[in-house]
Amino acid sequence: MKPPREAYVRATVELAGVEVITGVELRPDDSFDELLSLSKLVSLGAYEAARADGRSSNVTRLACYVENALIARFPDRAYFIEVCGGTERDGWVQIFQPWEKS
Amino acid sequence: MTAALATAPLILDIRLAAVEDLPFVQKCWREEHKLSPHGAGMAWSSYHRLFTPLINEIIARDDTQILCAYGEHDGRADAILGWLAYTPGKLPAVHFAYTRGGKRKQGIFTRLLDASGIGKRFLYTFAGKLPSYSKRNAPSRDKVIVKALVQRGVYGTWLDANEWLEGVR
Repeated sequence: MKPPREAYVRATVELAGVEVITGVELRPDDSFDELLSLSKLVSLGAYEAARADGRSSNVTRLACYVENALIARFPDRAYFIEVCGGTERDGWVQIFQPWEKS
Repeated sequence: MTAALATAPLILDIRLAAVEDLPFVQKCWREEHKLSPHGAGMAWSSYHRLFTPLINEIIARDDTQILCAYGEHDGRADAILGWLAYTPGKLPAVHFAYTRGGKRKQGIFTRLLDASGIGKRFLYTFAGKLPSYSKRNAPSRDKVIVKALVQRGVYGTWLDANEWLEGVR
């Protein structure tokens, strides 16, 4: 038995040397472009909240802020988050929640 | 005395663009954006085909606001010193901003952004000008401004204009 097919809208935001990538589950009736815009705004809001709490430079904590913001904005959707605080190709924090919570 | 005058804050009259200002806005937009990473090196004919309809569509939209900073320049009391094209709302977007040469780094963009009331989070839909050829590896102006805005607690991120338009059409 195969796992369910998954489709995500991938949105990248770069802020003050931090790169935040989110993937939000794309459903059949969704507007890809609206979901892309909203995902980017969610990442900006999460970064703003993390910065206000003095935690935006900690990529692990920042990823948690983004996760909470994504869950609040897109409840019951699959998602993934990737955050990188450097210019190197390593040092990424990744969070995956591939299947809808029930 | 001269130095004191040079550092005095600019007296600006910030208000929505008049219809007769729109050709100037469109001209600046195209000429500045042509020097961005998306237009640099492209033939003007190709640039016009790709970007002029896009710029015109955004200027013509009912929800697009074009805020101008008028002030003294070259003997005129009401010259446009800078402008900001933006759309407030659910998907707030700054489309483009321009400051007249010789008036840059005097806070015109910041004052326009504050006056727009667009908020602390926005998408921006057109990249800015690249630095001169001798500094080609340096970031384009939009990236420099966005980085500086973070220090003020204002957060912007790029989204291609076509994708933004698809989300609001």
